[in-house]
Amino acid sequence: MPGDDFFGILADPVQNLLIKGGIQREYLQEVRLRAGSPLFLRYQNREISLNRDGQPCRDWKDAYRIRMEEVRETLEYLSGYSMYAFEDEVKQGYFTIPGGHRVGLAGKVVAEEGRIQCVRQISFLNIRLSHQILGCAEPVLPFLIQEGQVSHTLIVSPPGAGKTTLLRDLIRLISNGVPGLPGRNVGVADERSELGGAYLGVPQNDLGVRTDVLDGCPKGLGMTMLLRSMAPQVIAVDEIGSERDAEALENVLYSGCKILATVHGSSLEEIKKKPLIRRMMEGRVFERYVLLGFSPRAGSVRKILNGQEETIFCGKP
Amino acid sequence: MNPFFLRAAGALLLFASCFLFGVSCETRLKRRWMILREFLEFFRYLERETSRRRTPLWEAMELGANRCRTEVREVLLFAAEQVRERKGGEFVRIWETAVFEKLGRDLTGEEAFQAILQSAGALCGSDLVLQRELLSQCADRFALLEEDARKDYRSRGTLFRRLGAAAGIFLILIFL
Repeated sequence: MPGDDFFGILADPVQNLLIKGGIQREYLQEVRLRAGSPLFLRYQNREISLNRDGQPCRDWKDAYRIRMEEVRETLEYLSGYSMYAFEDEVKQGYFTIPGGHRVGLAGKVVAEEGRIQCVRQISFLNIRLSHQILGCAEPVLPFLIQEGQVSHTLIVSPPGAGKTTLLRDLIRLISNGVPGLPGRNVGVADERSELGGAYLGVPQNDLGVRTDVLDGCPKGLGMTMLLRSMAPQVIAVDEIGSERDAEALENVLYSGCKILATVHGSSLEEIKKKPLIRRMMEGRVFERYVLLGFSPRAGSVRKILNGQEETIFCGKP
Repeated sequence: MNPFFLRAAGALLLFASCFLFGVSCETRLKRRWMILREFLEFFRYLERETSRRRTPLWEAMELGANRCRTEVREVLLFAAEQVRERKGGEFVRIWETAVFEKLGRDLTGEEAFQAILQSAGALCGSDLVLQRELLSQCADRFALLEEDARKDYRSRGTLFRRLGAAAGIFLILIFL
């Protein structure tokens, strides 16, 4: 809603524009600021741009254009006037702000011997708003429980279809406990601060009362560290697929710990093209696959399959 | 009343006021030196913070303020609160307000006052490389200003005190 905290992190002219246009915070998904280019918003699953009066305009040529000073001012607010505190995150091209929102950025990259030293003259910002949908995993969780235990689960979805949102809510439910499943200790290896949305080490999203979050740590290393130090019963990790994660995943699988993971893809056939995932599927590692899609809306569960890849739930088309 | 005692009392008052005037001039020089020294220490501290511990600016300002005894403490605490609450707009505006409200240019002299105002760019910026460079330049500039202020205090401070006392004695001699 206009005037809530999120609007306060935008430069004053942009903030006023959103308020004039009656933009509601809960439907706002993304704000893109590019110096010299129109302001673009992703609002109610559509891309819109606003004119000087804050009204949506059809032709982007009529849209309000962002000035460099507005990008700088927004950066000041986003970083709490302390960009230096986010130096490591900026090198990776993003940082997380209070509320769990992710700020992607681009500008002039200074690299040395193939390693990024810093990003200067930041003139492109992509603010992705975190939307924690409490309870969105409630219909899914019963399919993931077998004999009072959480199954090894892989959530498969194309980008933007809600796999992180679903995983986040699954973590919360498993951690807090639901009827038929007492609360479990959950370890989260949150490499890109997307699950917990941690700001200065404190998760901004509700991940449950028995959840330990290792924030900003590479997934493979994070899983191993959690296993050694926090004795989790379930480990959750977002976007697996690289060979670097393989060894850590094996450690988790053969330690009696259950794994919840996500992977980019629109079908099982597609994800089988990734060598690590193919090996794991052939080894019948995962006991449940949850396939998400955009129909009828983003985050809809298309199918849930068991370890033998047989459908046990089919969503509405 | 005995005219001698009356003159003696008047002479004493004259001497005291002249001497105190000299001392207050010396104190102002000392205060200016201390303010610049505290700013210098704060910039050096922030230089370390930006490259090592990465404490957020508001917290660094509060920690810096705890080490200060002069008006710099008030400036830093005021700015830290505005930054923490995010209610002051751009940092340049926050810093200007803090410096104008809590410090005032008569305490520091015009050159130092302008340097303090301009340090906003070094305290907060979106370009980390530039910010570090500006912080380093700022610290160097304040080191020079602090050195000048210290020399001023050492040389002119004592002079003012002595001149005040001498002026008092001179007036006493005239009146007596």
